[in-house]
Amino acid sequence: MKIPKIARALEHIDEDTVAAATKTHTKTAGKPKFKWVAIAACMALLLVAGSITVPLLIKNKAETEDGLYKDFTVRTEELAILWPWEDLSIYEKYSQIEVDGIKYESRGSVAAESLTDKYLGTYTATGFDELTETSHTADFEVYSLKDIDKSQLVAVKLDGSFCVFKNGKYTPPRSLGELFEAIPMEKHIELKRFSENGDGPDNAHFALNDDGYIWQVLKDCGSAVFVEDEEWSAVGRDYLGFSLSSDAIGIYKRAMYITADGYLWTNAFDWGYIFNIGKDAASKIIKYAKENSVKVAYEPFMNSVVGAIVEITEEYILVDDSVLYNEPKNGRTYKVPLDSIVISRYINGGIIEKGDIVKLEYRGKIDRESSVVSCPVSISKATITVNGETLVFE
Amino acid sequence: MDDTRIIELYFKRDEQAIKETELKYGRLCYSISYNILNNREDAEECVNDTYIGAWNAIPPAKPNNFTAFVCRIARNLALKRLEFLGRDKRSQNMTVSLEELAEVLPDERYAPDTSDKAVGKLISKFLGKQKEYVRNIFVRRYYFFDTVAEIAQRYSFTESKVKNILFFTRKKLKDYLIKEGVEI
Repeated sequence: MKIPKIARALEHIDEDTVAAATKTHTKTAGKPKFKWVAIAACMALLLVAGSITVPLLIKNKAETEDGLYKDFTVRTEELAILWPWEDLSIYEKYSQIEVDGIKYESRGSVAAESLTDKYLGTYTATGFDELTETSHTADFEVYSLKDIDKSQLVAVKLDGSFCVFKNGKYTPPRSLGELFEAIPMEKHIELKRFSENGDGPDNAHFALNDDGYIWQVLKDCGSAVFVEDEEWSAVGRDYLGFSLSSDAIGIYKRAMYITADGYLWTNAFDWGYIFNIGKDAASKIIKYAKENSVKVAYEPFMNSVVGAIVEITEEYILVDDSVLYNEPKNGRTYKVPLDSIVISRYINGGIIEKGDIVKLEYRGKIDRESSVVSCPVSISKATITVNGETLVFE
Repeated sequence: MDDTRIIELYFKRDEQAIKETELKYGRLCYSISYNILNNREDAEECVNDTYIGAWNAIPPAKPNNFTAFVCRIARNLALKRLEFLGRDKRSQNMTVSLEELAEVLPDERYAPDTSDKAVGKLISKFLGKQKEYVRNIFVRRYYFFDTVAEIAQRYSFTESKVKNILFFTRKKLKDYLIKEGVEI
């Protein structure tokens, strides 16, 4: 038989390259690269056509209600994986840092450099490898955040990005004024959306034109006292629920309720903070919000793409959602960059492979021209069912 | 025994040189030969020929890298033998490996007057620019002709990942060889 010339040519490759390949250590066969925790503990029913989280921003809503999609449901496997240390992002690795006696915990979010202020020094962060049960430490630069009291939040420079860390101790402010003084929310949070008496698909949702007046009313309530009441609940009260996102504070779609009976409740600082702002201030905010907003469609907590993986390269994966359509030609192929380890580790670990149906969640946007999905945050295997039958990608 | 001592034995024409080579590199040479020939007896014969090849070559040759030196002899002899034995002796793994290589640079697209040595040097240069694990995987596959499963186990990767790495490395190598004018 004929041996291709290139196979012969390989005989002349660098000797050190050949020798190096003989010396590579053979690892213990069968050693798991990661550990599954509570595998498929539950299968969560997620989507129904019509309220799907498939990026509606690039689709015509009227079309979605007009038989464009199949009548499908999507279920994803809820998986918790203990990744090996090297497969963790830097934000996952180092979750705690102590600065001048205060222990801060990572909020898992990144702030732009322009939001940082003074360099506070270099401090030691700690992380814990749960798989091998070993602790790790590393030194990082710590910065204060603009206008924010460093005793509440700091930015830690991890791998060139500024990760927001929050004081891990429960130290609620005594009043709303004290909270504004430590963290001027009006400077870092834009109130864009709110819903009425709940934030589900069945509640009314609104987009606010301008939030200046609301922040002003709240700032005028500086003396509103902090209410320590673990039993407090918005259920049974009339309220508007505002969505809060802020890079500087390190929050994404947290909530702030203003109740008609005069309370402000928020989970923006991890624990429920309640302030008694009084009925008058609350009614001003509610009235203003209703009069200065337009009704908008429900928006899921996280946008997502559901489809089949049709290509995997070193740099990206392609997810095709045509399986969701009555006419497959209406489908679209999305390009998901593999530059984030939180996605690439699924591909490199062989957990997700070409042909799998997946649900990809992302915080960014989908570029209209290139179909590139920005800021993907998670990927999981999914099952699509149409009229009781599971779709299989071929 | 370290390689320098073994080479010294060859220079002294001491037959212990062959015994030491067998002791240190016998398994490696056998695995290369067996991967290529897919037959125990043929592979053993090839390994014995490798020792004779080393004996005849040293001196005058004084290998800088004795590991690579014996591997090259074993590989070269096994490929020659495979060519002589014919197609039916090939393993599926070997067939696929050679097809994959032929796709990178088909014989008919070899630029005229290009020597195997020149192509080998270019491939070395290309591999030098790749990540270490990519380089090792490529060499394990196309120099030692390991199966994808063996490579996956060796480096604790999934087979899917190994295939993926090989696919893209071949693609990049092809582009590189075209750019360098070796493939027309």
